[in-house]
Amino acid sequence: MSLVNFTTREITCKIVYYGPGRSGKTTNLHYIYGRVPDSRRGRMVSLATQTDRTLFFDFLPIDLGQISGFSTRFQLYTVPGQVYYNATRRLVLQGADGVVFVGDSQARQLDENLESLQNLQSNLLEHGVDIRTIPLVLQYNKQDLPRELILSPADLDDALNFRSVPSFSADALHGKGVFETLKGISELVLKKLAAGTAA
Amino acid sequence: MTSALNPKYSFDTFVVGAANRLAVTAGHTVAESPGAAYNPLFIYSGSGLGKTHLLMAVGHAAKKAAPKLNIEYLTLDEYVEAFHASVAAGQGDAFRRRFQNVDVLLVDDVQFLTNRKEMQSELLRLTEALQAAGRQIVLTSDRPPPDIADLDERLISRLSGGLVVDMGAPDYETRVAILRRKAEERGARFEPGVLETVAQAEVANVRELMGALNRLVAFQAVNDTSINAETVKQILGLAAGEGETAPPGDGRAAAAKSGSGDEFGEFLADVAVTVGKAVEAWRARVGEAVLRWEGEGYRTHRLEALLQRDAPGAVDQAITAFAEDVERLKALEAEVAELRSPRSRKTWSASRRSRRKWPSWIRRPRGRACSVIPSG
Repeated sequence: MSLVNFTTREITCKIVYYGPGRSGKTTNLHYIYGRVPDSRRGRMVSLATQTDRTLFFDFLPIDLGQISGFSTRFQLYTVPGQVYYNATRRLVLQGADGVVFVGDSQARQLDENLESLQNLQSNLLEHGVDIRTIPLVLQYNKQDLPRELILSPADLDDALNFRSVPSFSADALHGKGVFETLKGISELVLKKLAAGTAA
Repeated sequence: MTSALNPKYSFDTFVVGAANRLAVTAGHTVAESPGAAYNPLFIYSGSGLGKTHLLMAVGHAAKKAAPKLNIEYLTLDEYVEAFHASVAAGQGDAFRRRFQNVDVLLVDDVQFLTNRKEMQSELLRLTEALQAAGRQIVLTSDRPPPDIADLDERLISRLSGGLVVDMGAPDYETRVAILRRKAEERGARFEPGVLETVAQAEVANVRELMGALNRLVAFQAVNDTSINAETVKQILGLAAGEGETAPPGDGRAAAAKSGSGDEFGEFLADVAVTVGKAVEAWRARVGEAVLRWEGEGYRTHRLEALLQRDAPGAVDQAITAFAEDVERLKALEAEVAELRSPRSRKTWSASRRSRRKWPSWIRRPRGRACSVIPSG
């Protein structure tokens, strides 16, 4: 899919927030939703259970308007983090232009982070995408928790960031690091798209 | 482990003003005669005032003056990392020999020597060796040697023994010159008085100045309107009525605002700059041409192939040539239509000869009843 379409003068980016259950993917989208002017956002589609766990996926379309003469749209998705929804995760990943991996900074969640990262790699491979080539950033969420409960960004980088991709500390509940993460992945995706049109 | 010199960071692109003239002059002197004067040269300034630019400019100028010189640029962290890697590999002596053979050593950010006794000793030894061999060393820091915490007295003395020079924040004239230079580099045009108004803002360093310029460029890009000296104050929050910047109903104007807690606006500004860089104007021109001719029913593979290039070389000529070829094709179509009329059948053989000369790329335009246009 050509996402910079010179003929129709459109740029469309699909960004997927991936990560283990309860790491804060939906919280990221909710924060972004709350900061986007009404005229720029579509309806946020969120299918959750009674306990607010993401059942299917969240979808937030954002219309950035005309940029350099191109009608620019971002589509943000989250996947359900719980292990048994893998088919949904794989479906949502299809056609993704970039992935934000939202990790849970709590030390006891490290294994879940690793498992989810491996799951991301395997689901991307199912679509014929190498995790080493797709634009990817890591977000270490819940950095606002007490120091003794969480791992530092440097430790998390050591454990998870095997590609040395950009990583961001975050407290998605209060918004810290949310837009920085979105900027980070957007930049990677747009650069890749531009390179793709030249390829 | 050394970094390459950024080709953009030369003396040619360094804007000189009262606050940095001495440092630049010293840099020129050192580049022209490495090891002969001001050795070591120690440059310090606050963040974002051009230390790294000047350091690399010295490297470029020295290399230009004497291409055979061995010049190395690296940050202190890279130096430390290289040292540790060498020691771990049992190659500590090789590491020392390598740096002692450098003709001009450029070390950035030496303030990070704090609490690194081992590296301080190593740097002291290296500085002594380089000086003894008549080789040049230039260092930068965000503070003068005596103010670097926990720095060995001998190293302070050694680093202060050449020339210690500082660079201050740019004055108004320098800020205007910097803005003009950067706007020119980015191909951005502003109405008279705009850049002068930006330069009136109190900024702590050049990076903030560049941030302000970026916001203006993004504003113009997303709004497709030029801004004047008055609106720039509102855009940058220099006037009381900064909230009145956005035209009614236009959320994009928020893109140019900053520091107002408008995270989406800042995000939009960043995306606008990235898109602006990614979707170069020449690609947009090619895209427009493709759109136009495809809409008229012509095959545009030749134009689309231009989009696969990395650089815009001669795309305008290619677009013009395509348009001219289409005009020729139209003329030929008209001629053929004329020949196909009963009155002109006698000249049919002549038309067959002429069509052999048609460019190979021309195909039958879609939706046109023109059966005589060759298929191969």
